[in-house]
Amino acid sequence: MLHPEDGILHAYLDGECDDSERAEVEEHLHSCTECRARLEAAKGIGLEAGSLLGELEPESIQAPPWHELEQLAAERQRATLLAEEKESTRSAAPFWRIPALAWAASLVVAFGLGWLVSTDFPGTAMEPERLSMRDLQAQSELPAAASEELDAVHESFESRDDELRANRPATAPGQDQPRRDRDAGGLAAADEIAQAAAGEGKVLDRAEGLEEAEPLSAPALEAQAPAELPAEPPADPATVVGAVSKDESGARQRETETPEVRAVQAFAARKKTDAAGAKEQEIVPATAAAPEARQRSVVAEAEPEAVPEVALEENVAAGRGGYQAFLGNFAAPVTGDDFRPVSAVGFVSVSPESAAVWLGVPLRILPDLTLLRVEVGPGSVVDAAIAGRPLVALFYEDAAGQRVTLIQQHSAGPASGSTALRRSVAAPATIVTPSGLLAYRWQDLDYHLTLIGELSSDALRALADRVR
Amino acid sequence: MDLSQVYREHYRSLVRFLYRRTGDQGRAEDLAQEAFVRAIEHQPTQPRAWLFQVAANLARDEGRRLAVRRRHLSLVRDEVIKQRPPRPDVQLERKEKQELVQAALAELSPRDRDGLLLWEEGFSYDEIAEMLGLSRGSVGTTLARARTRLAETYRHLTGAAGSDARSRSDVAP
Repeated sequence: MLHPEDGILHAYLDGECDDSERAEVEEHLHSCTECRARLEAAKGIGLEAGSLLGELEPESIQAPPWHELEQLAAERQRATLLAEEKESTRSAAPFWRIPALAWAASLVVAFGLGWLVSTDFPGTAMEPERLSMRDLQAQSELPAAASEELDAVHESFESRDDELRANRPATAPGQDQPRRDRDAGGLAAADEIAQAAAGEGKVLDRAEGLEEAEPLSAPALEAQAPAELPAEPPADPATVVGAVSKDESGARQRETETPEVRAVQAFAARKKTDAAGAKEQEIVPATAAAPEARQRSVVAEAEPEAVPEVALEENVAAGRGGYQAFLGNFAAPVTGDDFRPVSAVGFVSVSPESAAVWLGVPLRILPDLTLLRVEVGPGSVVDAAIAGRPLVALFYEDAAGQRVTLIQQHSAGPASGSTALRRSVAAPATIVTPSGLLAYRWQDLDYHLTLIGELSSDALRALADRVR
Repeated sequence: MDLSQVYREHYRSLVRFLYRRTGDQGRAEDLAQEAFVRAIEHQPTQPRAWLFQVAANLARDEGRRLAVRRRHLSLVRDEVIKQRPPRPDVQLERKEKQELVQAALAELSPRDRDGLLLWEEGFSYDEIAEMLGLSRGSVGTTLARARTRLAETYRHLTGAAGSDARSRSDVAP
């Protein structure tokens, strides 16, 4: 062997030679005095360098608590997303950035559901689930005044139903056969029908109220709307329940082509101001908007489905959708054996402290139960929640292993002056989820709360009283 | 590995790495926290190596911005050293020694310095090779060069500082 290079000698001293290398070096050293001296010199240099670096030892290090760093990360993402949102609404965006169809689609949903129910949280997202328009028509209790536009809304809502079913993951237990029968939820459904009958006509009031009484509400809400996305989307798509299926783009394509969407677009255009009118000029199919949306890194990674459809100001007013998706995301994993780390698209586990930062207010909790996990995610991902606001889900278990999920959002923030959001107090309601679970929803101190679990409605109500 | 656990186990190491890079503990802590905040956002699969790489980049970027200012400061410091009367103060000696080691470290090429500091923080040759984009075989060479340069530069600086000290004591009242 030739004399080994200095690098080899250092690697040898560092214990980073492999076996054959080490054998070679040792064999050579055995016969070469010169290299033995070099080895000693290298050893001395190494010790000296190490000791010199040892002089550079920081003094007592104060490590901030970990949750402070988490909060910092959350706050920063809020700011970033807020800035992005502002930029995209302010700048003369290229046509593919304007979520025109999304905006129209959200109106479809808003009008459709607002017409359907009047006693849900105004301006928020809770809607009666599983009450298809077909069911309602069969009741023939529909108000007679349904206009063409509302007819369009009908069918559009139906098609959204279909889309939601198509997107429902095959892995979610109990959801393979969407339950359209109402026997299990007869009581709630009957209530909803009565409410629907009484609620016709209020929708327009509400929409106009938002525009007239509070001309500044949209910018204010936008400014206040926290970046609703959690820090990092789940890396492994396999862990995501409710991931967007491949059918989705097709479903959306169909939706873009339906005449009812065009009808609502036209209707919406009439109601909108100049700026909105400009948007309408540039309506493009959502499928064309999708690639751009995916480039918006965090947002796109977290919720490829929701992004193209979300415009904050519209969603605050119109952030509602199928309750099936909502409960499908949360109800299934809680009861299934496979207790998933992430329950919905764009949701991540966080510490309770971080969740409170996301929410902007203290968490409501169930003090008597064991908290298994806290997740935070964008409201826009979960239908029937307030889009544009973070949603926190607390997963609990009692001593007997019974699991229940407490979902919460908060509607009043420092910048929220919207009386439209709190014009009335919603009546508490029990709802049957598609998977057969009961959910109990109510409103308390600007918190929108829902409890879901394998429990009777009485038990859920009793549990709701224990929420602190 | 859970990031909060990485934080508990390696925050100190990261601060030390950055302190040796920047010579400023306050900045080292700021940069270390910044690296962890970014890790929360990115959720890297190899958090420890990722953190050190990001931290090194942060220090480098900041270093570029501060280069002019630091040159100015070192001139000022030279003035201070020349004017300072010698005192047999142990703390002061340690501080001076630290400054000299820092100065010697600054003489290394960035890659040599990073390699050496990463080794000191317990990274293996394989990890260092990956982080610095070197072949595994050249890590030993890099470390050999870095150690030699550090020791020689330090000796050179102490020699210069020693003669400085002597000349200062000569002129001291």
